[in-house]
Amino acid sequence: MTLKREYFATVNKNEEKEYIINISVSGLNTFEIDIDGKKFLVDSVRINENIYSIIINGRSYAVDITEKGDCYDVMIDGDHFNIEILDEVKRLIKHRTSSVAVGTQTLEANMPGYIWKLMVDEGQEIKEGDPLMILVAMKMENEIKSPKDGVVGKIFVKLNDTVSTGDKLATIV
Amino acid sequence: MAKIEKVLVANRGEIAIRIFRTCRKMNIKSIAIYTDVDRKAPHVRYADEAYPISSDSQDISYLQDDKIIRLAKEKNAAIHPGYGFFAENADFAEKCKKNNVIFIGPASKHIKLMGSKTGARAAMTSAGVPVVPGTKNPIRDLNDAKNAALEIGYPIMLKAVYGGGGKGMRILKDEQNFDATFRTASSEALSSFGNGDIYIEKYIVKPHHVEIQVLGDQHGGAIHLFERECSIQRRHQKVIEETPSPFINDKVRNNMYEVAVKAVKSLGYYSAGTLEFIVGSDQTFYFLEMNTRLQVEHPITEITTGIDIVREMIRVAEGKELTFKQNEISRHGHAIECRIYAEDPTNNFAPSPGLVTVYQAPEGPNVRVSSGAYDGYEIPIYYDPLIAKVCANSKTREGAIENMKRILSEYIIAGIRTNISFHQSVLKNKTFVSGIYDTDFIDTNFNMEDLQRKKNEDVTIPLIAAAIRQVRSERISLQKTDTDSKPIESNWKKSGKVINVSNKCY
Repeated sequence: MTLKREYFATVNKNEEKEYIINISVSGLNTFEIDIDGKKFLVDSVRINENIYSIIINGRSYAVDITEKGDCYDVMIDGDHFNIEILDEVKRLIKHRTSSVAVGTQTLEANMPGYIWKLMVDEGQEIKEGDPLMILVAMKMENEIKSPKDGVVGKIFVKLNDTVSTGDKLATIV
Repeated sequence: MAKIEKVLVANRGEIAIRIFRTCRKMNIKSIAIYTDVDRKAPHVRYADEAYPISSDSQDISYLQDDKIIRLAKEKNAAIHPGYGFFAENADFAEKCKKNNVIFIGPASKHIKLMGSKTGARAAMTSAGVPVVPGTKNPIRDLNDAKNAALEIGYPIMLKAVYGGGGKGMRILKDEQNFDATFRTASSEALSSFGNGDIYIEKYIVKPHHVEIQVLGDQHGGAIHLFERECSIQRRHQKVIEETPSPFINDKVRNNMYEVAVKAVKSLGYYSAGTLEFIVGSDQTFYFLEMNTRLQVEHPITEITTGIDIVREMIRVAEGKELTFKQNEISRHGHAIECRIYAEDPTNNFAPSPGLVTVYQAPEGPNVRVSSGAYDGYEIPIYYDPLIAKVCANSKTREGAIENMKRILSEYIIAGIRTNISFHQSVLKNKTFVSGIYDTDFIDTNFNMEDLQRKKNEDVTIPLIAAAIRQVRSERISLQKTDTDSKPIESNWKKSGKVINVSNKCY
């Protein structure tokens, strides 16, 4: 069966440029791809969890792709790209929610680790810069500080919990 | 002393495997210890025997001396501490001795002596090793201080006796402003540490970190295995080491060897050890400290000399003499080591533990890799971020750099971030290539933006790859039939999926 899709892609988050990609699956490993009007015939096979072998016009590429939500971490020859791929529906949702209300702030783990110390309780009043907890990974301590004056809303973690990058830690109201 | 038939390595990761490798070739049985979270760590499988040391699933500590020594005693095994953990712990070595367990390392008295800054300094001074010139006692009188500074020779550093963290520390290039600087340093020391005492030390301009590998036996035998240059450091952590040092001249080199061997002999030191020196831009060298253990960077010495340092350590612990005399040892070519850390160079080198989905080690000529990782291994968050050491060698330094670039380009680790791209940038850096770099290299000569700069800015191939991946995963979720290999499931992956729901990019 042929599958045709239209995607909207941005590279490295903050860059404005949006690429329009039309892709159709023409064989088991062959794809016809159109990026902003430029056409490519691509042969791509997946080698393992992250590695793809891509051949375009006889040029061979080993590409390392890691999926992170709607984003892909792409590594080619040591170069690193972060690419967001959205379809039309997701693009609409994104544009609608981009004006997020300020007020309650949710703190997230910026690296994986475990909660070594918890210094505050829910409902506690805090000042900007006050340490809330200490996240430790590989002998490196990372103090999580309050981004503003306020009150600790919810704490999502317990002592010794392990967290991944992006896990919610606490809210500051 | 008895022949060693079994070795327990009181360590984990790549260094445990490194030691097991020598045990295997010497027909010595090996014992691994592991914590609950390390059950799947590769050192557990490499060893002939493996025993858990955690008392429960929350217990992540390898620092369980009584348990480890009891186990070694029960199994009639000697203990090798590796580096870190119980290496350089005099009490541990002493406890082994009391329990009649052979400790594969130096005597506890030497570990203790070198563990004390003042003790080491005094011992080295009496062994004829140059130490950083300075006043040992606090100086309170301004004129005394000026005279001492003249004697030591400018530039000098004023340091707080009870200080640390740079407070109360001042550098003086000459006698100009001496009075005022001395007073502010003293008052800063007083307000920071409750004591205004100041001492003076020579300030080493553009310091290099050069170390001499030594070996001694229990019969007074002592040899050196040349030097290693370890000036490429980030946050005081070594990142790249090489031998020979591209900086020091042959006269200085030979002086350092001579001094180091003399020190080992006069101390009666045995087993492996390393004398660390700070070398000024004028090539004068001063003793910094002695590491009474097997060093992380020992492989480059082994590559260029052909000596198995772990084998010598085991033999010395058995009471044997060193296998080789100094005149039987020579060095060939050049070797470089890059330390591969699980950290993200694009995110301020934040730790990056987690599931290794793809692990493909470099192959081919001139390469030595020691690692504690494999694909499917979840690198724990509790231990050191060092996951591998990669060494390259060649006849010349240029050749070794060339080889290392090729070797690192083959090293594929996915799922977690590593500092491989950082190494690639350093290997291309002009100052590094020139060989005249000092310990400030990363701060002064290395442009962190080089890390972000791409070899190829064209986003076409990345876009194509990402679109294909996206269309494939949509097809998979539509058809529920996956012709691709099933991904490996882990906690990290699961939490990744939770994140997916919120459409976040990291």
